[in-house]
Amino acid sequence: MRRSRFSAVSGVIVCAIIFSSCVKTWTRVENPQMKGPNGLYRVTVPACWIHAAFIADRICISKDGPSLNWIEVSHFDRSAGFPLTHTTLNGDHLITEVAEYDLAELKARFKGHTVNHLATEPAEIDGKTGFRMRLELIMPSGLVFDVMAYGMMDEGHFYQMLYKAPRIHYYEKELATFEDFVATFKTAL
Amino acid sequence: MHGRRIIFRAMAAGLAAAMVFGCAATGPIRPFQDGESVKPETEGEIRLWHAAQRIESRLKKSGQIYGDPKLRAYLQGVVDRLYPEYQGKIKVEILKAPVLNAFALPNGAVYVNTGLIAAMENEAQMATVLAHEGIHFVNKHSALQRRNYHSTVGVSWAVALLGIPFLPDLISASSIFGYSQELENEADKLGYARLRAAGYDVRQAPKTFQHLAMEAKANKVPEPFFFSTHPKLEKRIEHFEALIAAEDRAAGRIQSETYQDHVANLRPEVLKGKITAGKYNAVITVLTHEDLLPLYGEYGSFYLAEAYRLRDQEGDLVHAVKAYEALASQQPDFAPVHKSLGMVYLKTHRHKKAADRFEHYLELEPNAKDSAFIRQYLKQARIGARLQ
Repeated sequence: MRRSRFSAVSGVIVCAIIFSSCVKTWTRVENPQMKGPNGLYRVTVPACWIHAAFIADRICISKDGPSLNWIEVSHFDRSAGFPLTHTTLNGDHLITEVAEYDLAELKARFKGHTVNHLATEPAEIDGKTGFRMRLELIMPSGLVFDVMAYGMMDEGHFYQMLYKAPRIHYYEKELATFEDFVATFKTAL
Repeated sequence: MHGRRIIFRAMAAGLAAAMVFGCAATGPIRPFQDGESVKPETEGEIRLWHAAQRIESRLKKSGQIYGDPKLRAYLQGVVDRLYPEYQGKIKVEILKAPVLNAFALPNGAVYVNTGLIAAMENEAQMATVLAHEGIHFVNKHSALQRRNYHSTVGVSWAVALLGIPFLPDLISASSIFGYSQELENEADKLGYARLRAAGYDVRQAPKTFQHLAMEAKANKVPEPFFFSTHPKLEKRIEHFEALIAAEDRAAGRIQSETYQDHVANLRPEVLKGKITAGKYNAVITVLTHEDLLPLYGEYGSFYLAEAYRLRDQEGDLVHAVKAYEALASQQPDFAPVHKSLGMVYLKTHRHKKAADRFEHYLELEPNAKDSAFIRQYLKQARIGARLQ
């Protein structure tokens, strides 16, 4: 009886060790050149940042922790549409309209928080015309986050690079790093 | 085997404790009698008041309070007319949110979303909502709902036993998302009596629900949050119509113009909020209703056109151009209409017309925030016009 209980417990421990080794977690970036899913794009990740390896469909990185500074690169096929609002895009949409749809998507994503749109300006991303949108997010605790989102359309895909950090101390601190990161973005198509 | 027996014994003991404590907590919950009696009486009610204060504190910190003291004072006046003996005890607050919703907290705070205020045509319709929410507070529906939740399931003890922390805020917050059918029926019935006693035209009450049903359909959601549980909106409309049929009084206070004066600035803000949140169907549904479009004034047709342009389904751009053109001829100095019209023309390869509109926009708004984009579009339109 005692032996069978011992073997059951040790079996559970062994399984836990095996499964925990399979779980992806935050990892320090070894190779700064990172490719997006299906090799659709590549970016150069800043030194000393960590990568959320458990998120497969986007590149998500942080320096001091996801609630203190967060950069992500995401994309979707324009015919599939935005993930939350399901608005699909076509080749006729102007870039300011794409920005309007993206604002609706970000509002849906940050539902429950106050989202204030501050500005949308033209931006060049990988040599193509895109937009740069600034938002203000107010949490229920009253903490204010600033968000900068770059977006652009290329070859039937929408690409977005987003930076989010608390306004106090953190946002300005890594803003230049984010701008440098955006400058490294290249689509592979 | 022995370990499993211990777990079952512990669970049985926990459920027994839940039943004992549940029974001990089921003292009478009496409605407030007047403003003087407004205070929490039991430990459960004190907890609910504290939870309500925490929710209020978070709402205030989150920047969601709509800062229009004149409108707030007006709505407070409506509540005071409905509940004269509770003056100073039921306090109205306005939340910046396009969703049609209103809720009462156990401490007497009644929150109404800007979306709901904008959807109402007159004071009598708004009073229907406020009368209903007032009953939730006066009859302590949060406390009743909380007690029913405890005594029927014994959940708080059971979940504590299983290691899930008890969350009083969650329990009180659940009141935000609707009450039981029984409590909603009571709020309907007694709210109607308050509406009648305050001299409002009760024939406006079913229209309140019709607006909610219309918006819910447009957003493809089963029901809006307000009155979100049971019975269904159609049933409630029928219920109110039956009450009205039994009325001997034909008319009463409606106050369409006074209401319009107070909400005229809020309505376009709500439309803009819905557009930026991607609720194009909701905007089109409301603004293609011939009785509702005039309530939104000159902005109504602009936001209708914006919703068509952004929804961009078959035939939408034709509707958009028609509405923009009509507005541009009526209000030639309203800059946004020229920008949007230029964008539709650019998309549909009418480059000369697009260039004219963008030039006009930049003349009217040379320092517009989006002028950099529009200059790019103007350049593109001019090149296109030369090639055509």
